[in-house]
Amino acid sequence: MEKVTKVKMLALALLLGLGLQSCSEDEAPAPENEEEVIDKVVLTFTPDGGGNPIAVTALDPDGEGSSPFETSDITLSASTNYTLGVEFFNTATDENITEEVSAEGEEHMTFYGWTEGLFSDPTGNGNIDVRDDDVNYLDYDSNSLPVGLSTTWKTGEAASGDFRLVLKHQPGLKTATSTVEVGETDVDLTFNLIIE
Amino acid sequence: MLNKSRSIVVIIVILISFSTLLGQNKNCDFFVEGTVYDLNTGEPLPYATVTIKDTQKGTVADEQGYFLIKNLCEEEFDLVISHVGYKTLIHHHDAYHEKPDIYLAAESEYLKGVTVEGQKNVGAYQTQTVEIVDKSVIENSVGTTLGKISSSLPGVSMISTGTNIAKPMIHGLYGNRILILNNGVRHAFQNWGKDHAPEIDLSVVDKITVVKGASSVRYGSEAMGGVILIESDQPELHEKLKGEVTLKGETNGKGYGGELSLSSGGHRLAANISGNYYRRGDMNSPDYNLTNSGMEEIGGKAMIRYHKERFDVNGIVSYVDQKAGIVKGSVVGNLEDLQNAMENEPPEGTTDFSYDINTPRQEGNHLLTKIQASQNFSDNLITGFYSYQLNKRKEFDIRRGTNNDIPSIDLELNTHQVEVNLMHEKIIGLEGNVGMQWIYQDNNNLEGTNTTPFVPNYQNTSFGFYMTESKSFENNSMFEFGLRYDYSFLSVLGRDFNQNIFSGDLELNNFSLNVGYQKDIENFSIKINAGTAWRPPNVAELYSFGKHQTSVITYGLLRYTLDENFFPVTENVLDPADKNIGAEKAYTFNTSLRYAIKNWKIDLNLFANYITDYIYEKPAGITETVRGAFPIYIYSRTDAIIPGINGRANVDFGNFGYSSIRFDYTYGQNLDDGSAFIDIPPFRLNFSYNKEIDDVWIFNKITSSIELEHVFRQNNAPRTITPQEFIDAENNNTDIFNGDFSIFDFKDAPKAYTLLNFDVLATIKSQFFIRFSVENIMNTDYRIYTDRIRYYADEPGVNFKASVNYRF
Repeated sequence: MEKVTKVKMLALALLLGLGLQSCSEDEAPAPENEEEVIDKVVLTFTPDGGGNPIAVTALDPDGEGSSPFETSDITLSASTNYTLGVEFFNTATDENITEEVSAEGEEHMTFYGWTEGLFSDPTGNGNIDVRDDDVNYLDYDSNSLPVGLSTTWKTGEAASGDFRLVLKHQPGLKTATSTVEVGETDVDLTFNLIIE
Repeated sequence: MLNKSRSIVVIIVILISFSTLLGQNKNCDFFVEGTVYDLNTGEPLPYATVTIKDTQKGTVADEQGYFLIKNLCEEEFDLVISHVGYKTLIHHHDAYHEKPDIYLAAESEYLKGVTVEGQKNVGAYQTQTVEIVDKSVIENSVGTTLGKISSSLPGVSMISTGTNIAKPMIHGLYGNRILILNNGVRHAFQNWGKDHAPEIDLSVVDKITVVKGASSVRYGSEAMGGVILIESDQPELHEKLKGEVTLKGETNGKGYGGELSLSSGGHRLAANISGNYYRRGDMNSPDYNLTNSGMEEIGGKAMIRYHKERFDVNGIVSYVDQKAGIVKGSVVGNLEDLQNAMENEPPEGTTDFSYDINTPRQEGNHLLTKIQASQNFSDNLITGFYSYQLNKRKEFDIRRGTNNDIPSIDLELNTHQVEVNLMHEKIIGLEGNVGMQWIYQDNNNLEGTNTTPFVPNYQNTSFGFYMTESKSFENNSMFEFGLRYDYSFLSVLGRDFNQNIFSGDLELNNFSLNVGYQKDIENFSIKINAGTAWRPPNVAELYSFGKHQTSVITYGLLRYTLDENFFPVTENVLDPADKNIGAEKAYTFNTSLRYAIKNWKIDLNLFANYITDYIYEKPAGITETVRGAFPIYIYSRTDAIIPGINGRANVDFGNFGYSSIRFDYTYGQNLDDGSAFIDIPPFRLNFSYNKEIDDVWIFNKITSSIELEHVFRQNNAPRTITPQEFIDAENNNTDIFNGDFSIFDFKDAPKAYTLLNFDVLATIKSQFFIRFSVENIMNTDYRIYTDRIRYYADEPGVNFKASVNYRF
């Protein structure tokens, strides 16, 4: 019995020894490029027939952090034709994601919505609520469905209201009738739009 | 780094030193007792002759098949069991088992007899409530999971993400509050979040035992709600080559697969191997296809055993690779997407049946190796083992472009474990175990996910030593107590959103305690057990940051501070000391009563868990991102109480079969604000009727059962705030929380439902086992409160399952 106790003590001491060899983590995860994330969106309204383009940037530097971000106001001239170009960026990798969205046009669609009356063409309040409502798309995917990175707008009388843009990722889901409710949201921004 | 081989050497040295100091028992007071049965009918076989090989000793079993041979000078010997009309069986009786059940095969049959032995009572949970899953349920199971199979026991339920990903829940606790022991080894996996199930191949499992209630003293941290013990049968000595082939399939999901196992045992050496494959496509709910709900699993196991008198060495290698799809419509983006996904039925992206498993999906594999040695000396048994586990997990989300083929989570977890346990003989009237345990884990994110790691890299070292003792009294009662000390050290290195490195260390010391009492009075027996249990917070609870396979953004305890409006600010990564991070501690109390009279048997189990610094997720507001508005969840701490009651009554009608009624109730409350918790299983009632018929047509035995299960709606659920209410509040610029950050759910608890299931098992000459079962016979559409898929889709509809098992 005495011998047994000795062995027990020996084992105990050894295990204690092992336990005290606590290891510190010495290897951090490799840095990753946040390729997924769009954290900067630039809207450029170029007036037809010359004039200074109006560019508005929405930036979300802390991504999934909790601090809110604000979008600046868009100010356009009344009764003017504009071409709107939308660009998406990833500031972490300094990457322009617009091309990727464009190349995968058959998986992406940009929907627009606004306060009724802001524009004389298209009329109405956009295709976020009703898919078939008018939006003047200039770009189409390989299935002849709109992508929405380039659109035309004619402003109405002086007024102000909301202007909302939703980029949807609809892999295998995009059809002539697929609405804003289909697929995952890549971008959903609402701006204050002023026409003067 | 550690010298792992050193620990193995230590154990071997210890064991060898023991074997040298063994003494022989010359008092000749060993004995053996057991029961002889007919293999075919399972009935006791009277008057078999039982002798000890190469001696004159022996006896004849009594009318009930029971035999007892006393005054043996050796502890180990070969038993020879014979009976007229039956094949003679030789069974090697060793010191590790007691009371063998011997099944003799008739001369006319092809099969040989078998012996079933219970392990000697290992103690340490004798006063705890223990439930065992019926072996026949595991053996011929088709396309199921550990979570699902153990939820057939009272007090046990499951938490799941669809049919493929399910983990067990005991007494309302799950995840890191439940310990899974795979052949004695802590099953090490990515055990955080609700959507990570243990990678366990059920085909290699022969026994599932559930210990309900805190068991930290014997098993270490995390054994708070209970322990699930998974065991594979040891290879038997003196056994000619034998094997089993099983083919199985099911109609829902068009699943198919099979298993093959072989075993053989000689005088000293025995081994077995087995392999398993199963594949299933999309399952069907009553109204629509559940697109991308398929799964595929391949696994195998090899065990080897060397046995010498009183000395035993055994090794296990097992591997499983699982691929599990998650219903396509269940992974969504911002609040509006969530609202749409919850409203749309069938879920978005629903297509026709397919075996394809696209995104979202999980791919996991798990390797377990273990070498164990044990040595018996007089009434002591010392056991030591070393085990190594490698767990790899990849999770694929729906992503843009080429990223769709890249996992968003890619983790590798290495685990080493060493344990030494001494089961000692009676010392001053106390019997029990003393032992120690050492575990080292290293978890790493693999490069190339193109997204910031959701959890950091970490290393975790822990060791503990324990003692559990019991004292039996003459009036059929027993007192049990246990003590344990644990040390744990967690070291973390991770990347924040800007790819800057952060680090953190957490050192914990803990004492656990357990006391229990058991008493038998005629038809009545009572077990009372009270204990403490603990666990260190897991890395996800401390460090998670962002969105992962859900529609909420989650911040771990160390990723936020609350501002004056109780809104989380996520500027810095905190140190564990900043928030005074400590262990979560539980105080649990369990009582179980058993009453047997005439043809009735009643079991009742009452429990209460009081948990301090209970970590749970709760909402903390809304954040605007480029992708729209997301709800923010934070990990928070509170004190909680989770009590409940469950039980079962069996009544035997003799020739008319038997019935059983089971019920299960669990309650949970946050003691800080009085609110409920999400994921407490609702009240459940089961009724089953079973009947056995012998000798019908070509079948020797047919066992059939019909089961009716009713699950009530969970009324003890948190308040509901739908995503639409959030969107409306945003649009109207109102504050939906209005200062109330108590827990809420996005959807009401699902309605009550009733399921009808049928099962029949037929045997031919104890060589063919044919099982046929139907689940959800009425094709009821229902949703399970503790299944995350309930927000988006129904559970599968009617399913016919069949399996054929052939033994040779």
